[in-house]
Amino acid sequence: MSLQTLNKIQEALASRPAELEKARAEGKKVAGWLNYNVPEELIYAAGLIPVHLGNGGDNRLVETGGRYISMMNCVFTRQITGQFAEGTDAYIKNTDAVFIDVTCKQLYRVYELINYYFKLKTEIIGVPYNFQTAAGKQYFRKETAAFAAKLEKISGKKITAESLKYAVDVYTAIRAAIRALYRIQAGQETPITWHEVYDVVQAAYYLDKDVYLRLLQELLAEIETAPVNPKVSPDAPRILVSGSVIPPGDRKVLDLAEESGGRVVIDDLWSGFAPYLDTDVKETSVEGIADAYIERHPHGSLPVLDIEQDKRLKDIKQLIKDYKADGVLFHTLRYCDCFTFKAAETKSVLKELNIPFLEIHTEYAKSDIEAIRTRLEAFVESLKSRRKIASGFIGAGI
Amino acid sequence: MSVQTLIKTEAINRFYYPEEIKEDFLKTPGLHFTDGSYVDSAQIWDFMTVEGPRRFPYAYNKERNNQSRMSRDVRFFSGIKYGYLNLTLRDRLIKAHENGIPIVHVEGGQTVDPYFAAGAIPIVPGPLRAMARDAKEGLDIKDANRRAMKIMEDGRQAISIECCNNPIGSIEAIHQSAVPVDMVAPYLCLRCTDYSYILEAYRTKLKNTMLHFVDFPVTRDGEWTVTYMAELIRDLVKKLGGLRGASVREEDLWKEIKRENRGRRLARETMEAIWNAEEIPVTGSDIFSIITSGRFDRGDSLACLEYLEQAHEEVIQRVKNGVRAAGIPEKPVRILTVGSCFGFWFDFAEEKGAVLVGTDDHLSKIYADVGEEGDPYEEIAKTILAYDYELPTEQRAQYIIDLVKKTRADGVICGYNWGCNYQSAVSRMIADIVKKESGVPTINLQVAELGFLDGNEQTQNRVEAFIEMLS
Repeated sequence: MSLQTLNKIQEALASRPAELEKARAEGKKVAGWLNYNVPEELIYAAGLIPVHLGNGGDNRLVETGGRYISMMNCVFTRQITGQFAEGTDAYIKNTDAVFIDVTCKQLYRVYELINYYFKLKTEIIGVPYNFQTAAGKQYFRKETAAFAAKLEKISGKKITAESLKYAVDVYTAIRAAIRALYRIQAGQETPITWHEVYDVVQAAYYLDKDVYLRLLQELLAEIETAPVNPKVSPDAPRILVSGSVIPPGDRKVLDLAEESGGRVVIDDLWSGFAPYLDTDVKETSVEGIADAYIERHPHGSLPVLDIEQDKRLKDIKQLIKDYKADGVLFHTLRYCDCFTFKAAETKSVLKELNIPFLEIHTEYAKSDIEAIRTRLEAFVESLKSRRKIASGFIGAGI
Repeated sequence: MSVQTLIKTEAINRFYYPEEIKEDFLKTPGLHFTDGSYVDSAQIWDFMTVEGPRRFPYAYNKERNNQSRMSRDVRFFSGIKYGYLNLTLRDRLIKAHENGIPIVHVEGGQTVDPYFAAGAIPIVPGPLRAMARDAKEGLDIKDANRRAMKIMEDGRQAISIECCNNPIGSIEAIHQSAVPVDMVAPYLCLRCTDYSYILEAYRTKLKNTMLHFVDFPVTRDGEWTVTYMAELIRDLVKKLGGLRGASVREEDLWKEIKRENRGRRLARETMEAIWNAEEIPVTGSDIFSIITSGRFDRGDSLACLEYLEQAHEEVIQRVKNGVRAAGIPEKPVRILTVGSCFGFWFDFAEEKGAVLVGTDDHLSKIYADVGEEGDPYEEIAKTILAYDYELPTEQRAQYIIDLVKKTRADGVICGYNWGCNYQSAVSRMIADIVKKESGVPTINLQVAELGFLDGNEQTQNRVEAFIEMLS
């Protein structure tokens, strides 16, 4: 039986476009955003409605976007471009301004395209690629301050100390709740699946943040007394999912992983757990928010040349340990270079830790589903065998 | 085809510098190098007519898809000297490396002033890949091509088939120790961010090479952006100096900036004279050499400067005398190319009635002087951030429209390589804006196979049809 609060979240999502239309009719403005490092608290503190844009999984929109952007760009950027071209997406229709941070530079190009072809008000926030240097951090502080000023201009309201504190508190509470949900779903026996939690995380793309926080707290309360979900097999191999974005609308590989008998227990996807993992606003100020974003689990687009300083890789290893993952499913989209080019090294690093690794390189077209299924089934089988060997089951009768 | 037929075909396709030009060539000046050495025109002639053909036969092959072939305009003597700089690059860099001069791999399209000023030699992908290919001498065109491709494909097998040819070919060449590179330190220009991810992918493989990069912040309007970039360049220069245990003084930077500004000015004055001439005075191949020398990409900023001085003088003389370069058709269709890493088939275009008048990528470098007063790091930062090629795409399109006017181009070919995610993304947009606002026809092409000898019929058909349409 599905958890009641999950149904409530679905209902809230269903009514959200109409709510946004109403809010805009009443004079409120919606700030759509894309990428990873847009400090959403500031949008909220400025009295604007933040909406995280961008969907995946629709090859028709990929084709539409391909008329503007090239076939050498990843399907996510092509689909987003297609969404803006078509202009029928409920959230894009209700967006007054679009903010894109320059973490993934393919999305920076999307900013240029939608600005030119579709005449949307768009703004960018620079993100330093030398993000671990003092100069880089200072640059991001300045960019964040400039972003805050732009927000104030659009909303016509100042970001006050009170509004900032309120926003930071709400977002901090949301992050804590998501972390709690992740811990619960990863238990041997659990009332909620990772897949359901992932959907909940992505509901945050759209919902009002006060409403969202209240729903998260309700969900956590309900889970305390909810029965164990029988669909979650405690014996299924536990999988960590990493790699390219898996946005709302794209569940191809995730569904196949579960249909193959695997159980996803954790991810470090930037469309999933990554922004919740360790974002920590230590000081309630624009600068404090900038620091929290640039110091958190980094997006794969930000290159690190010293493997010892690679926080992303360190976090993956820690998550494997904390969530007792048996293997890693590394999902890469074609032409998503920042993740694709990391696959070989990540595999080799994990091999040293005896952690099996499978890269699935794909697009949104369905033509490779059976090929992926075969690979995933084999991967899950191998994880099961390893478990049996580790438990001494295999070989006991010989 | 029999072996005898192959040898005969190779001989027919071989390019020679005719003896009858020797006397005049020997009257021209030689080239000075930053290490204090000098080669006179007799030494250059000997190298280009004896040693060069023996060691690098592929460069003398007249195959029209040979991107490394010499200019057929043999009476443009500066062109012969450029060929010399090209074919001796490997020897010179190995010698410099042995003498403790750091060799630093950088991206194309960046201000190299800080590298030379720090006593290092910056080397961009095209010449670096050529150096790796030339590590094995005596190769004919097919074998030379195969060798370059093999290095690139080794890299793609290690990282991903989706890597763009230039960064993966270069970094894998360094990995295979086919080139003596002490440090890889590019700016992450918007032309290519494959570089950052390929470099990251090799971070544990390149054990004896220092890795570094300088961010290219796309928000150029903030004062803090210049401060950030200047700070990164300061750090870069410190690291470059550290490679040879020396600290770099501001006066070293100013000296190099002044030299390179002079080179950039010469390159653009030469190009403007070519564009405004009644007859096109040099071939597309020589045009390309003049433009790229304005970014000092043959391992020595002094020798590049002297090449530019000589080329400038020759071009001005030819323009005055109404000379049309050998092989240039009468009233050619003038083509401007747009996009990164877009080496074109000059001779093919000329055979079909066109001439390449420039490429927006390389031209942006010669139109970007560094300020000669103030803080040199900030001045370099300002220049990098102001590169026309790296501007927001709508502004870059305006720069291309200006180039269309300056070059009197009849058509614009927008191109991008396989695996390029950043230029490819806006190639269509540029083609649309330029066509709409300048009225000049544009075509948008993926040009992955331009570096190949074979299998490029589709691109040939498209380019040929485009030229025919404009004729």
